[in-house]
Amino acid sequence: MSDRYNFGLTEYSVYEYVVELVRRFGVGRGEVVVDIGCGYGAIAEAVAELGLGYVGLDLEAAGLADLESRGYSTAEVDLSSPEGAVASIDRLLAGRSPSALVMIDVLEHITNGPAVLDALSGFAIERGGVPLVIAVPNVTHFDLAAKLLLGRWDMTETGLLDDTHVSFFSVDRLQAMTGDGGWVEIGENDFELPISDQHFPSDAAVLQIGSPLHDLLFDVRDRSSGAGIVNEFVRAYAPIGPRGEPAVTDRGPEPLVSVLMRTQGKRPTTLQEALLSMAAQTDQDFEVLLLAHNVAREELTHMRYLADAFGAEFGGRVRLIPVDGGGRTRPLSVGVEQARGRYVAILDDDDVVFGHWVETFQAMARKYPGRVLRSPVAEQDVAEITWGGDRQGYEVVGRPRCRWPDAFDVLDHLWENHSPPCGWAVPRSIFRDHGLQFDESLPVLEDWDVLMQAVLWCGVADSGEITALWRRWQVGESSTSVHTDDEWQQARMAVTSKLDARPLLLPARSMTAIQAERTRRDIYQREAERLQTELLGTKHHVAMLEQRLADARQELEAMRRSSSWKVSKPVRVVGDLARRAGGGHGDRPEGDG
Amino acid sequence: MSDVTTEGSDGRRSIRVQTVLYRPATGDADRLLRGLGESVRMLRETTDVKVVMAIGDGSPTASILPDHLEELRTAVRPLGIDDITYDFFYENLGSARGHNRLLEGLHEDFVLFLNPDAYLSPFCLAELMLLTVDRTVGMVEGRQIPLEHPKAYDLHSGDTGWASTACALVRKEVVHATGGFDADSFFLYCDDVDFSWRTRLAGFRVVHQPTALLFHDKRLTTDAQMQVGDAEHYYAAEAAMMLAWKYSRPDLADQWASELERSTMDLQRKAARVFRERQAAGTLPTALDPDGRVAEFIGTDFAEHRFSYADV
Repeated sequence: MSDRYNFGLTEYSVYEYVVELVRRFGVGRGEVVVDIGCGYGAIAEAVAELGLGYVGLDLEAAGLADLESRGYSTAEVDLSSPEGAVASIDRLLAGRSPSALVMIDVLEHITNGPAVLDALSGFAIERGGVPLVIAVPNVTHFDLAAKLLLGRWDMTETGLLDDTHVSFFSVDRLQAMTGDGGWVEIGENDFELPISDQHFPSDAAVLQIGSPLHDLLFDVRDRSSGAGIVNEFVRAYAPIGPRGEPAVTDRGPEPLVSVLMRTQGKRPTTLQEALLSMAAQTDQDFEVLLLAHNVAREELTHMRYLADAFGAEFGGRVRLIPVDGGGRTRPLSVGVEQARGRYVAILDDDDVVFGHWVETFQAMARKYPGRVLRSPVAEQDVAEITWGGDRQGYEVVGRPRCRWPDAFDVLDHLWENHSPPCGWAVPRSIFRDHGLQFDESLPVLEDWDVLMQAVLWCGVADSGEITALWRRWQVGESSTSVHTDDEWQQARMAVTSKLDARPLLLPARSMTAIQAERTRRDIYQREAERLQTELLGTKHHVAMLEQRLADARQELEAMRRSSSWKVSKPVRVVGDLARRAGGGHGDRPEGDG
Repeated sequence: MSDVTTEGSDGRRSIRVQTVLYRPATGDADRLLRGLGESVRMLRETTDVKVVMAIGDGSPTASILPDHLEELRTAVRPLGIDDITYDFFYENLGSARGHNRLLEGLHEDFVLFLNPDAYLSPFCLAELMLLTVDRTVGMVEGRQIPLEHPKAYDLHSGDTGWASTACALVRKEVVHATGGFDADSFFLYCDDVDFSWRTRLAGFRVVHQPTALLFHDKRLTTDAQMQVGDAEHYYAAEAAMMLAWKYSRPDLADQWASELERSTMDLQRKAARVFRERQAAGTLPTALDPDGRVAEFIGTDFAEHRFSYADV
């Protein structure tokens, strides 16, 4: 081996991050830190500064010799034999108690990681639960992901794609392997490098911070599983021994749709209707998450009774989930976390769906998997009333209307929402894989926020069929009556700001649509300019006429004051009487003299 | 119809549920029974009641095969529906004659008329039964969702002009007093309006129970209009003229017939022609309610409506 791995402990390096976890979990519990696959022992002196002893084990002699020369005990170890490695560690410790085991950049170089971890776990348990600190490169770093899109996989001498790596790690794989090896994570101190050693060619747009392509893709990466700029995962673990068989929680295959049904328990009649409309669906491939927001315990009991009244099979697909605190968006966040369906839809407790709501989603999902599924919604006015003198009820006061367009138009939706939540379903993957969340800081428009983000990434499938009825409360509480205009305006600005913060991914043919909008705007602008010019001319004309009128009045007044006018008054009076007697010209203005 | 008896066989209160199928959508019967079963189960939690079901089928071929019928029986028996009978008519009798056929031999205390595309709330039957404590109530209808019927009703008493047999519970005395539906005059539409009005003429009240919910699988067109099939264009037109004639409004029947004769729709012109033929042959029904005690003709509606589904 050359000295390619002879790195010192610099101020900002993975070693510093490892030492921090050793300090956090190793200090005070033993005498010696055991560095397995130690190379040149970059952390040895830093460990000594913590007041701990240090021993290093490696297969390569050069690093060990270097460590020996610095006064540290070492031993050769071959990890291809995990049991032999444990024996070597035991001998090297010579009765001293280990405070921590450390494996920096080791797992990616061996093919028997699980066996090594398993053997070390047994060793650590025997010695009272010695912690293990692991550092491994992150193969899901953004630089690597972006370069894969360019068709590049650049192996290098050291770094993320060291050409001696035989195993590659995402955070999930690391968790799985350590878990299988008998370890549970107790600490995290990942080493981040926004610009890694793989940040080349540096002029590639996909790597350039600030280029729309980079920012868009980075946003995708960043919002997914995280760790997009983690260079090395640095984690601490406690030994727990062999893991038993996982508990079997078979809840059957995942349904097509998880229906998030928000309720505050204030409208039991419409809640029953919403559930009834679900129970009557022609396609029963769904689950209902009944999200009881700030609802008292006794009311929860009633809701459970209500759901179960629809029968055991349906009741079994209704999960009653109490949600406390937060605004109207909190239940949706909780619902998404617990959803199992391939799609997530929203049906609030005062809306109702037609019999083919799920069937239509099913057909669209089959034809356009992964897209946002959207159907137009009809609106109907309702008002709270009392039935029979004492039962809370409501009545329909108007026919259903089509307020929103049949087909989804992304540009129109950037301006305002034309798709009530009961008309669409988004793939759950957008939450699970792309990190989308309902924004609990939004008092209203939380549905528009999620819809737009989902649509811009997933695209839309339109059914064109009305499948839901959205109720507008003419009398009674609703989001329109409860929230102020200011809150609506601020929420709108917040949604806009979020969309503004990243490049917009518009669907194909958007160019034509934008050009058409621009053309329309130009036409309107020209028409506005023409009308403005015409208006100016008219104003000028009016001013001129007003001036003439004023002049005429002045002349008239002057004439009336003249002596000849006064002298001729009797003649004019006789003339007026004659005209009235004749009945003609009734619409002529009468003189005032 | 005939042979209407007045007492239940074993002293318990009893309900016969009736539905008439005609080319039902796949799964309709299962869905109907699923909702009905749970509604019966909930009713029986508080009321000792015997429930049986009668299904009539006017489809060209049987909609329910023997194995399927047995599955349905097995599924609903634990819920409290003791039996399901299935009567394949071998012809399309329409809803009025179909229901009359099923009413033959009625000995239950109540009949629940149901549309095959309905799904009852689990509390529907219990809510309907609540109002039958009042012996003056002869017919109780449930409230339909997602498209509620626009007919007005008294918010306190529930009294209403007529009841839809998409879901209506009827006392057997009413069946006895009225003789069932007027199948000679009404094939598919307005048979329930006529039945309701004759129920009221017989001295019973017809009430709407808004807490008795049922899902009626109606749908909207893309411009939010009710979806209407060819059959409705014909039979609704025919029934409207027939209803006006039967309830002593020959002027209105004649006016509608004249308008329909000028319709651009073949089916509506045909309805007018058939009406005129029956008029000429003297086979129209005998006129009732000469003083207009029960019948209401408001525009083209048969009761005051709170709103209209028609485009305005």
